[in-house]
Amino acid sequence: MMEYRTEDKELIEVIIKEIRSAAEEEVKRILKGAKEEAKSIVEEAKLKAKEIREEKIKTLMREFRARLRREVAPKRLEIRNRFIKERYRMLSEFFDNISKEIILKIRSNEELHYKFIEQCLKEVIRAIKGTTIIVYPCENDVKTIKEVIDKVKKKYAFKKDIDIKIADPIECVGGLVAVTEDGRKYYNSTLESKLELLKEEIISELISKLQDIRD
Amino acid sequence: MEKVDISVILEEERRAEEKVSEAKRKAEEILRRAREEAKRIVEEASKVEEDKELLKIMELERAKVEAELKKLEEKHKEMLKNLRKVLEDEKERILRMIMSRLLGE
Repeated sequence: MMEYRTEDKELIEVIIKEIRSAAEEEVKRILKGAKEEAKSIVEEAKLKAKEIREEKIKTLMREFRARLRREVAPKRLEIRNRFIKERYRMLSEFFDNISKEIILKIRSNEELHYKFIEQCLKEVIRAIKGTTIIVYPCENDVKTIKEVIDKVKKKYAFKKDIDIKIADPIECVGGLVAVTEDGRKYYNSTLESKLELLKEEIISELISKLQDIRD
Repeated sequence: MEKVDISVILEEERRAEEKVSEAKRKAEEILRRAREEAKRIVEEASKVEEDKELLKIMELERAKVEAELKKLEEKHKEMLKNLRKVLEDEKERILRMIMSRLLGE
């Protein structure tokens, strides 16, 4: 073993100390750098994860809402259709009951019955401008129509060339059907056809009256 | 000047290099773990479908829509009830109106 002088020994110790200290510094620097880089890798991953998550949530929610809308639309339509059907059923039933009352009223009151038939004939004369009109009376109105025709003819005396012929009765509740002799013009003046026209008109009027409560 | 035996210094340098290499290995390990953790974090983020919070939000939205449908049905019931009342109130007027139309008044 080599014997050192005290000065040499001190020098060696200083160098060793220096080497150790430099190595420790380097180790510290390496580990610190690695830890910082690791932290930044994880932080970056967290940010990326947040973006991915938000984007994926957006997509999933968009798809979910679209699916929900597709699921709900037919249900909503079904509810609405059910409501419209029920509303029409109620209105129709209401009108049919009123119609029954009216038919009964007209048929049971002679004065009203005459008035009604007279109105039917007036309408026919107004609507059909032919010279000869063939009237098909409803089976229960033959007598009344015959009686009313003369009265109407007098009222429409200015239309001297009008000739009204009564044909065989037809099956209907009240009123008449009229055609020109050549069969080219036709007018339905039966009670049921008049009521049917009024039914649609009145139902529409009632529906629009109810529109203040919108669904 | 007498020569100094540098073997001690060389030995110390070798040790120092070993320490630095060990630190580098550790650093590599730290980074490897961090990359793994990052990968796991990103993979975890993609599994949003299983997110309880999200499922809860979807459930709430579905419940809200279903409640709206129920509300619509209730509203329709109310409207039909109202219609019944309107029809009762309007009956006489409509009857008179139809009669006057049929009689040409």
